Amino acid sequence: MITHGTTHRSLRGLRATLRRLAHQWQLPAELRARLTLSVSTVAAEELNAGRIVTLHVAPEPAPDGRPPQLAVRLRAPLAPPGVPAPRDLPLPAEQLPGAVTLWRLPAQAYAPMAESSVGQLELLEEELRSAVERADALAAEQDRLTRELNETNSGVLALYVQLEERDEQLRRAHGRTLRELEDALRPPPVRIEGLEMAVHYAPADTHAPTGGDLYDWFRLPDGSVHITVVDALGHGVTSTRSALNVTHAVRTLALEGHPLDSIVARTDEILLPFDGELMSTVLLVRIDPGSGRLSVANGSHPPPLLVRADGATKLVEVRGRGIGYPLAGSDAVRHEHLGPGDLLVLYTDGLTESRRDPIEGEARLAAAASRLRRLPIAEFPGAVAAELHTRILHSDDTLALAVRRTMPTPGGTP
Amino acid sequence: MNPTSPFSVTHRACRGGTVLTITGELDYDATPAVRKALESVCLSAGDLLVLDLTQVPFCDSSGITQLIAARNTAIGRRAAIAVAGLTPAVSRVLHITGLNAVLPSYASPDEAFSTAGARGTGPVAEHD
Repeated sequence: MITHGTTHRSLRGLRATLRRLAHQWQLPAELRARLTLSVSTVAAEELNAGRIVTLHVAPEPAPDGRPPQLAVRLRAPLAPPGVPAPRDLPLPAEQLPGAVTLWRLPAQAYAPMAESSVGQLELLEEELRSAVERADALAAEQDRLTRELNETNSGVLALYVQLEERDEQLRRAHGRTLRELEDALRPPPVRIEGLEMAVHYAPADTHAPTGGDLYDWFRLPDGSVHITVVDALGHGVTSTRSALNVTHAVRTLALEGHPLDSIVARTDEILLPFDGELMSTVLLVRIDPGSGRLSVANGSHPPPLLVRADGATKLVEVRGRGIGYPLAGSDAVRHEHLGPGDLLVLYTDGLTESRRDPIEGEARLAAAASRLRRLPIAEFPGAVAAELHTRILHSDDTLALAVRRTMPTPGGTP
Repeated sequence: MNPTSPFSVTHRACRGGTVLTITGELDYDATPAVRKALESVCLSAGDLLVLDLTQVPFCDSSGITQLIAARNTAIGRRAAIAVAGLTPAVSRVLHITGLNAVLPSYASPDEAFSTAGARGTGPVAEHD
C-alpha cells in the first residue's frame, strides 16, 4: 500500500499534488474536483497566513476484498487553537483533534497508477467538463420534471372542469325534478265553458320551490267548479305536505258531495288525529259557470276579491277558522253572483302583507286588480302580483289565482 | 325584525289575573320571547289573562300561532283569555283569521278586567 505525505507552503503546490494523486488513484473527475476544492478551502487560511500544511493520502483496506477507501488528511500543525472548521464543503470532511481534517472517499483501484505526464490544465479541463455535463444533465432533468408537472396540472384542471360540468348537470337535473314535482302538485286550470282561470305562484325560497301555499281546482259532477286555496304554516317541503293533506281531504269530501258549509270542520276532524301540529288556512269557492252563482266558505284565509266588469271591487268576507285552529270550521257560506266579465281573485297573505300592513295591502290589491281587470286571464295574476310587490319588507310565498266569467260570444262559444 | 322597535314581553299580576304586555311586531322572531313569557306567567283557575297589544303594529301567521298558544295556556290553567288595545292592522288580521270569535277584545286591560271580571270570557267584541 502506497501512502503519500507532503508538506506545502502554497495553494498552487497543494492543489497540483492533490490533483495528480487523485488522478493516479483514478478518482472520477467530479470527485477529484470536489476534493481539491474542499482541501483548498480548508488550507487557504493557513497558507495565506504563511503557515504550512501537510497532506497525507493513504488507502484503508476494505474488509471484504473490495477496492480500498482513500483517506486524505490535511493537517495544520501551526494553526491557532479555536478556529472553527469550515462548513458546506463541496466534499464534507471529518474534523479530528490536532487540527486534522479527514476526507474518506472510495478509490477506484487497488493501487495508484504510475505517475503520468498529464498536465494540471488537462486535469482541470476534465473536471470542468464533468461539472458542465452534470449541470446539463440536471437542467435536462428539471425540464423533464417541469413538463411532467405541467401535464399533471393540465390533467388536474381537466378533471376539475369535468367535475364542475357534472355538478352543473346535477344541479340542472335537480332543478328539473323539483319543477316536475311542482307541476305534479298543481293541477292545470279547469277547461270549462263559461269560465277561464289562471294562477301565479312564486315561492319565498327559490331553492325549495314548494311551500305552504297550495291550490286545487276541479269540476264537480254537478257541473260546477270547485276551487281550494290553502296556506299551511311553516316553509319548504314540510309545509307542502300539510298543504297537500288539506287539499286532498277537501277534494275527497267535495267529490263525495259533502256540503260546502261543513267541509272545513270535517277536514279538521279528519286530519288532526294524524298530525296534531298541522295548521292551515283553507278557502273554498264554488262557481256555477252557467248561472254565475258563487259560493264561499272559509277557514282563516284572506277574503277573495270580486272585481266587477265596470271596475268596482268588493271583498267577499266569510268568518271561519282553519285546520288546526281553535273552533275550526266556516261559520257560514256566503253567496254572490259573478256576471259576465266579472273576476274573482283568490290569494294568500304573501300578496297583501309585503309591506306588513294587511289593510294597506288589501287596498292596493283592489286598486291593482281593478286597473288590470281587462288583461287576458293568463297574464292577469302575474301582473297583479308584480304590482303589489314593488317594495317587499316581508318575504313570503306569493299566490294569486283568478277566475273570470267569460262574456258570451255571438254563436255561443266563448 | 325591525331594528328600531325591539321586541319585548313583560308581565304583571293584578287583581283577577295577569297582563302580558307585548311590544313590537308579532312575527316569527318574536316566538321565543312570547313562549318564555307564557311559561313563567302565574295563572290560577278563574283568572283572566289579558294580552295587551297596544304596542303591536303587526301580526303575521307566526304571531297568530303565539296568540293561540297563549289561549291554550289560559285554557290549560282553567283561566280566561282576552286581547286589548288592538291596532287596526292586528284587528284586521284577527278578523280575517276568524280568531275574533275565540279571543275577546277590549280597548284596554282595565276594560277587560272590569267587563270580563275574574270569571268567564265576557262578551265577544267584533271589529270590522
